[in-house]
Amino acid sequence: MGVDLSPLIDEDDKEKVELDSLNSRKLSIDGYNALYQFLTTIRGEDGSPLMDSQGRITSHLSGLFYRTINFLEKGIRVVYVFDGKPPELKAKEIEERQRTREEALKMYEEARTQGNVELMKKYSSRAASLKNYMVQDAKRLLDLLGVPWVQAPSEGEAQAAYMAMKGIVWGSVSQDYDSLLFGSPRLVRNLTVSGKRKLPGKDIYIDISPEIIETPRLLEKYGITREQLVDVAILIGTDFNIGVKGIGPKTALKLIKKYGRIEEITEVPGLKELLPESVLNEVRGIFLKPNVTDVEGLEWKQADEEGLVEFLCNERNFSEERVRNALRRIKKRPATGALDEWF
Amino acid sequence: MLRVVTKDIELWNTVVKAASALLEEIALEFHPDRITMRSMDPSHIAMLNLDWLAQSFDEYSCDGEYVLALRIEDLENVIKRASRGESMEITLGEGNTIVFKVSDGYEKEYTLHILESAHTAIPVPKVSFAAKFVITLKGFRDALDDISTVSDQVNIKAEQGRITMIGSSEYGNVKVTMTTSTPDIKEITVQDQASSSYSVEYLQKFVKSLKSGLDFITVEFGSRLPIKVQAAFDDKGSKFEYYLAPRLD
Repeated sequence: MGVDLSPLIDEDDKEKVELDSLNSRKLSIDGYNALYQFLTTIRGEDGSPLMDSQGRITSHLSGLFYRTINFLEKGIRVVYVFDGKPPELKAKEIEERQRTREEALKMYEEARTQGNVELMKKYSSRAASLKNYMVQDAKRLLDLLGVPWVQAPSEGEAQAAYMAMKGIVWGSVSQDYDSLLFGSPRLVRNLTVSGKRKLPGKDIYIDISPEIIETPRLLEKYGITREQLVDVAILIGTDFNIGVKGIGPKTALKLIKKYGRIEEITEVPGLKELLPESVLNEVRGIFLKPNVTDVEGLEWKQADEEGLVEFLCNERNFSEERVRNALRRIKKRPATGALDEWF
Repeated sequence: MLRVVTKDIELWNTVVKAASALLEEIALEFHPDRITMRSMDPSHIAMLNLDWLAQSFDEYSCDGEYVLALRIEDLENVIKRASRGESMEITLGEGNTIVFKVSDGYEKEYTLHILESAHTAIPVPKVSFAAKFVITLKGFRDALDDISTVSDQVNIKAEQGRITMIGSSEYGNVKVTMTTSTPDIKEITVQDQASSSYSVEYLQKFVKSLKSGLDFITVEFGSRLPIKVQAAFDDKGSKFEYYLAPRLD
């Protein structure tokens, strides 16, 4: 889920771009975030996910395959980063997500009994959960596509942001704003969901295009440091701590601008009890000194067409014609690199 | 105070043409001893690096550091109105403008608005090239034209004393071989055998922008490395460089 910084991100802070303009860029994608997007959005009429003949879900594979082909065709070099062991403070958040999913699953079953397709759609995507086998599927698919992936020691988003910070990639991709807190200089949103999208619960379709948020520009606009942005997030509430009731993003920003840091805030009664020093230090540490690893030698190789047909078509019942046609698109023209690699 | 005069309009034409193939704005940096310009296209595939020394101009006087950003289209319109042999003077105008005076018999004066520049310094790629060859501008242009008849990319190979440029596609293959005895070749230096592919279109855009009177250009490249094409403006040290990233095949 990540921290909701959206009220602090104005339209002016987002540079809307076409996919083509990212040609030759290297981008690190928060793998779990992307797979979850595919899993919740690629669904049948009644909201059920795509499945193979053995009942295994394939929505994540469909999204990952066709979307990655799109990137490669445009000359965008992506590297997927997968979560490792979550920080202990995330346990509550994970528990909460699990509870929400279980509730959604109950509601889905109820809607199915009633034959209410609209409600089935609504609850099925909420009930979606990413299973281990799906992540293994994704890694196998990426290997066959010749696209690199990285196993993060802990949070994938932190690792993706770190790679952008180190200049290994040009920017990091996620739908969450945590990347800004993890220090990514450039967050690319909507990359894995761009195109026509239906608004939930409405019969309205909108065009979603990728948008870029430059962290230094955002910090400069608000006159705060990254450390202070992390404090703003802690006040609002993150995946690792509960926020302070009644303090939204704008109030949090105002308080941090006025007092500099959470410890100095005097006008919120009981703040020290709500956010004791131990919690502050631990959450700050997760964002400012995340558990990440150095990455070297990322390589984009030729796709293994026959291997992909075997995996996707023979094992997971994808249409062979569609898979081969998609692969033809990336065979047509090799992409050009960017000069940044030699700076 | 800034005043720069040259009678070689063709060189200005070269700079503007090369830039217009990649950019919409150009940021010319005027220093006391030279004009520089370093820009990359938006996708960072190609870079222009200009180093135009004061002694290459008929008159050059600049008392400080000025970064003047201009719309390329505007600059192109001015340069187009100047003919070969005319002299062009550049000075700073009033109210954040730059003035171009072109004179040959009568004087034409153009004033362009300087843009607010978001110019940031960028480095040149740090590359140890494996191979270098010096070739006539015409020879390199012809070779690229030959390749472009079948392919939009050229594979350039370097072996001892030999440079091969290959284009291949479903339409056919073209192979251009040059050795030290080829009349268009002045020098081939190969430290390590190298092979890399580049966009023909990007290379053509640069070499076609170069003033026809330029004799030789220097090409350096390496396996999976950018290619650098360098054109010397004169024998005084002024040069115009072009870096192009390799194809990732």
